[in-house]
Amino acid sequence: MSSLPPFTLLQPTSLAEASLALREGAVLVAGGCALIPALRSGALAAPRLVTLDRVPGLTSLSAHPRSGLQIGAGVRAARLLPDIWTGKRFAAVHEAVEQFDAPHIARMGTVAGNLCAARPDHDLAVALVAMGAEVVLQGAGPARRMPLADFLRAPGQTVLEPGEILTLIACPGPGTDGGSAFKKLPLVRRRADAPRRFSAAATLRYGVERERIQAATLVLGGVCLPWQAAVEGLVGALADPALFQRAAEDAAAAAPALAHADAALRRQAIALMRDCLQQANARALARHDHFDDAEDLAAESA
Amino acid sequence: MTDLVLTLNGTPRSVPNGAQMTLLEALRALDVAPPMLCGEGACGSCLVLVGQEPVAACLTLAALVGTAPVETAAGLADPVGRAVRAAFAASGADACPLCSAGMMVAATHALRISPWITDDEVRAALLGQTCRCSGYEAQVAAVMQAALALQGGGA
Repeated sequence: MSSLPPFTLLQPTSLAEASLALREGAVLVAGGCALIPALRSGALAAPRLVTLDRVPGLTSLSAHPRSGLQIGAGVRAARLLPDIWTGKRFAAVHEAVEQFDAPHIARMGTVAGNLCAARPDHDLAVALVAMGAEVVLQGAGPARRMPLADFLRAPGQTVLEPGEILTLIACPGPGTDGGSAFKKLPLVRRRADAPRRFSAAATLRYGVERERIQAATLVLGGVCLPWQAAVEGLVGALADPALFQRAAEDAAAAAPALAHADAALRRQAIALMRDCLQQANARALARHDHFDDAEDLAAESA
Repeated sequence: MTDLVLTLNGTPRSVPNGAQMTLLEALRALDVAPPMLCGEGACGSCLVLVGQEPVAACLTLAALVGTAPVETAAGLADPVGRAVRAAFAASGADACPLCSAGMMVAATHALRISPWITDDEVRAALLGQTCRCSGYEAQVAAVMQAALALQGGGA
């Protein structure tokens, strides 16, 4: 096992300094989970590394059904696990962290680092894209805010300009009668470069009358960067298992990553997406925010 | 060439050129030897505690450890660590040098949170550790044995 090539470690105390170092060719190190192996194998050369651990204000995490989920760039994935609102109302994101391959990777790796690696087999992006997450990028110019789906350009590539830093990940609240789910399925691999897994995430939201689906998302990943399926068939419909099966079948038929998949693989992807929709549906119907119930009661008595 | 001082198992130790190393390389330079196997954080063999948190030493820059106490399997000296090491030794669960150090570190971390642990929780705590030969049964049994000893000890 080769040792690390020589490097200088910069520990700036402000984003501006960090951004300057990055413009001058330094490489950002967060949890190190993807970077260190790349440095050691020689896949990436970085004589200068820069860490944000002395930049204040990047380690905040807040989650609430009304104000949404905000994850600072320095937040390590496992910090989401004990957060009660993340578990209850941002369940897809919670499940993606829960199912990390190794608990110590969730403790070491940051959410932002996981997204910036832009690897298809990284699951957090799948859950966050389904939940409508946006990212905030700060660099030399004005800060940019964009959907996470647009941030991920291609495997290993993001839209980050030189000197730009992903500082915040923000998800809108799930809505009063909204639910989400994430699931993944390991794939048998016979080649090192074959996909490791399917992952899928779904969200579903009901209108005020709590009968018809008002909005839904369905995202497939693992074999590709998060790919959003068109789910027009769900909107306005009454939920039933056949509806979710059909939506998953339509998604599998349209997914570019499944264009050359054999029947067995396709069946697995369909089952995974259908189960995500069903579980998101169950969670959307199972209300557990006491203040939402209180509002309904108030509306009924008015 | 920058030397680095690590607080290793309670003792400050100086590592020549340590600022250029991963924590694992620094530990090996000190002859404290968690094995280096996958080098990608995937197998958990080099798991150590940094400030009570389990990390893969192969993915950690030694320079970022700072003054946080580093504990390796051999240095687990509190009652929980001693119980885990004793249970592994008594049952032969430490027979293999590849995974047992990381297993003991992961188990100690879990039992420090609470020794009132179930079989399933032990398996979840060891999820990041790859056993290459035995199938985890001996290790899970050893952790449960350590947990029972700690529970009996008025924990």
